[in-house]
Amino acid sequence: MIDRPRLLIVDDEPQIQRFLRHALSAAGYEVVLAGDGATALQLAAARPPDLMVLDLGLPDRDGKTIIGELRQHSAVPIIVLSARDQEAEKIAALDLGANDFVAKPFAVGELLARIRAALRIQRGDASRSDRFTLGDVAIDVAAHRVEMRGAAVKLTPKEFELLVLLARHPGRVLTHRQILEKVWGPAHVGDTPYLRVFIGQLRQKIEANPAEPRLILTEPGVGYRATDKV
Amino acid sequence: MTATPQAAPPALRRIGWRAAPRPAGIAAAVLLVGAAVAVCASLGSILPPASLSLLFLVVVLIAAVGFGFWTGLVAATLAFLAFNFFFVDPVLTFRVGRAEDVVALAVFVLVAGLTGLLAGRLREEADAARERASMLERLSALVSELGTAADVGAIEAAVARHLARIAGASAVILRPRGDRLEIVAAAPGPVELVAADRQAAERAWRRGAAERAAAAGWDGSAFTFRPIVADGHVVAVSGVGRPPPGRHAPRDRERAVAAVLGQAQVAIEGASAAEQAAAARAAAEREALRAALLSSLSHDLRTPLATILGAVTSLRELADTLPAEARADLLAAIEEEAARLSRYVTNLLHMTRLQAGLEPSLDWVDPADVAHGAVERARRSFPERSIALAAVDPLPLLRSDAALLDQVLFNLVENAVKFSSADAPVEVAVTASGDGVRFSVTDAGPGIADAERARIFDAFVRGADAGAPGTGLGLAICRGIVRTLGGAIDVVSPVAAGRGSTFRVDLPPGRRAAP
Repeated sequence: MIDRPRLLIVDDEPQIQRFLRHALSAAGYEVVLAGDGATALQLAAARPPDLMVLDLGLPDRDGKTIIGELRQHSAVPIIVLSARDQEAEKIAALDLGANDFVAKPFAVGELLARIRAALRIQRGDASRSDRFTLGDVAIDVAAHRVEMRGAAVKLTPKEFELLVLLARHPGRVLTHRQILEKVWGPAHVGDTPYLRVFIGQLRQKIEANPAEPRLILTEPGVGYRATDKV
Repeated sequence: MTATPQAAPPALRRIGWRAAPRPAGIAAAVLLVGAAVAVCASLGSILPPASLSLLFLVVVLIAAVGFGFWTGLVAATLAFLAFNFFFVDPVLTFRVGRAEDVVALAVFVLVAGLTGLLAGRLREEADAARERASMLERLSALVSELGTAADVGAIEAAVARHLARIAGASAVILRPRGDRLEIVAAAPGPVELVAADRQAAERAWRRGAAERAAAAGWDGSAFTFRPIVADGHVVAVSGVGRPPPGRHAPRDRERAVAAVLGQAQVAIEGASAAEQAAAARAAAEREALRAALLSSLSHDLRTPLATILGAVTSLRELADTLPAEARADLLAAIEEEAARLSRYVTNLLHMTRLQAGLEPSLDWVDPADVAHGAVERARRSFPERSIALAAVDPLPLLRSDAALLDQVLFNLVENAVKFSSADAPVEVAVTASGDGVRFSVTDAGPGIADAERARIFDAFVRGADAGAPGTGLGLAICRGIVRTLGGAIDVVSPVAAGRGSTFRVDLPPGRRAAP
C-alpha cells in the first residue's frame, strides 16, 4: 500500500487553508496545515513532508527566509503561493531554492499540476536517466543526440545543454538566472536577452509551431518551463 | 502734460550738528541775548564787569542746550557783539579801547563758541539718541508682530502698518498677480493708486531698484516704491507715500524704512519656507495614505478572491472525490468570502469618495430607522453574535444621508464584533442629545489603550490585537463620513470592569453649512 504523499500547507489565511484542505484531500494527498513560519519549520523538522506549499506573506516572518532555512538541510520540493504583482518576490523565492510558484488567485487545477510535477521530479523519473523524451523529442544525453519523429535534429552545444536542462525538469519553472548560470556560467547570470535568443532558436528547431510553443513554455518575467504533458 | 523728471526728495532733516538752524532757535537766541543785555544794564553798577561776561555765557549755554548747535553758535556770536557793543569801553561802539579787553573778548568768544558748540552737540545727540531708541522700539514691535504672523498676508499687513507709521504717510504692499501688480496690504486705510504710481511700481518691480516719489507739486508718482526681495528674486513691492505738505518728516526715515523692509524680507522668506514645508508634509502624508491604500487593496481583495476561485475550481475539478460535507463547506466559504469582498469594496468606495470630497445627499432621516437597518444588516452578516438595539423616544428627525449613516453604524458594529469574543454582546443605543442625536455602539472586548485611542480613527491603523482580520479602513471611514455630516465621533474605553469600548457618534439635527 503506497502511502499518500504528505503535503505541508503553510498559509495564515484560514479561508485559504479551508479550501486547500478539502481540495488536496480529495486529490489524494495527506494534508498538514501550519499558520505561520515557526510552526511550519517545527512540523517539517518533526516529520519531513513530501512537499511544502508555502505562502510568502506570513505574519511572523518573510516566507523567503523559511526557504533559506529549509534548504540548508532539506531538498523537499517547495511551491510558493505568491501575489500576482510581486515579480521580484517570486523570482527571489525561486532563486533561493523554491521549486515552483503559483500566483494567487489560482484555479486549484494549476496547483495540483505543479504539485504533481514537483513530486515526479523528486521521485527522479527524468532527472537521473540519460535518455528521455519531451513531447515528440527524444533526447540521448550520452550519445549527444536529439531526434524528432525519427529524424535527427541539429543543435549547437549550447542549445543542446539548454534543452537537456529544461527537459530534465518537466513542469518545473527555471528562472532566467538559474538557466544562465547552469548553461553559461555564473558570469552570465544577467544576460537575459541572450537567453531569449537561444530559446527562440531552439523553438525554431523543435517546436511544431515556433510561434505557439508547446514544449518550451515562457513564464513571463520569471523564466522558462518545459511542458510535463506527454 | 509731459512726464517730468524725478526730482530729488524733499531734503531730509538729519540728526546731528549738520542740521540746519531752526527759526525758533534764532529768535530765542536773539531774545536771550537781549534779555542778558537788559539784565546786565540794570545790574551793571552792582556787578563787577567780569561777571557780566559770565552772564552772557550762561545765556549762550541756555540757547545751545535748548535749541542745538547752530543756535548756540549764533547766540555766541550775538553775545559777543552785544557784550562788545554795550559793555566794553568805549560803549555803544564795536571798537575795543583797552588791550586787555581784547584778550578778554577773545577769550570770551572762544569760550562762548565752545560752549555753544558742545552744548548744541549734546542737545543734538540727545535728540538723536531718543529718535534711535524710538525707532528701535518700533522695529522691535514690528519684529514681534512678524514673528507671530500666521501667514504671508498677516506679514504684509503688519509691514504696511509700520511703514505708514514710520513715514507718517500712506503705505502699500503690492504683489504680482499674473502680469500686473495688485495691492495686498495698505495702511492706514485703503489706498488709491493712479496710473503714474502704478507705472513707478512696475518699474521698481522690473528693475529691482527703488523708484523715488516725485517732489510735491511735480508730476509723477506720489509714492516711493522699493522692491522686496526673497529667495533671490523680487516677490513684492512696497510703496511709501510722501507725508502730506506741512507735516514734519520724521528723521532717519530712510534708515527706518530700510530696516522695516529688511525685516519684511526675512519674515516673508521664513513664511514661504514654512509653507513649502507644510505642503511637502501634506504631500508626504497623501503619498503614505495612497501607498497604504494600494497595499491594502492588493492583499485584502486578493485573499477572498483566492478562496472563491480555489473553492469553485475544486468543486468543478474534484467533484467526484469530494465528500458531501467538504462540498457544503466549500460552498459556504464561497458565499462568506463573496460577502466579505463586497463589504470591502463598499468601504473602499467610500474611502475614495471621501478623499475626493464627497457630497452627501441630504434628506429627513429617522435615526431609529437607520439604526434598525444597520443592526439588521449586521445580524445577517454575523448570525452567531448577539447584537441588541435600544432606541429611546422621542428622537428628532435628522437632516442627513441615510446610506452614509447606515454605513457608519454598520462599520462600528462590525468593529465591535471583530474585537470581542464570540459570546460577548454588542449593544447599539440611540438617544436624543442636545437638539441632535447620539448613536453609541458598546462592546465587551478587551478595550482600547490610551495611547491607541488617539490614532484609532486613522486609516490602516489596527488595534494591538492585529490577529483580527480587517482592512483598518472601517473607523477611518466612520470619521470621514461623520465629519462630512457635521457631527463628531469619539471612543470611551474602558467602559466597565476595565474592559469594553463605546464608540459614540453625535449628529446635529441639520448639517451645518459648509465653510
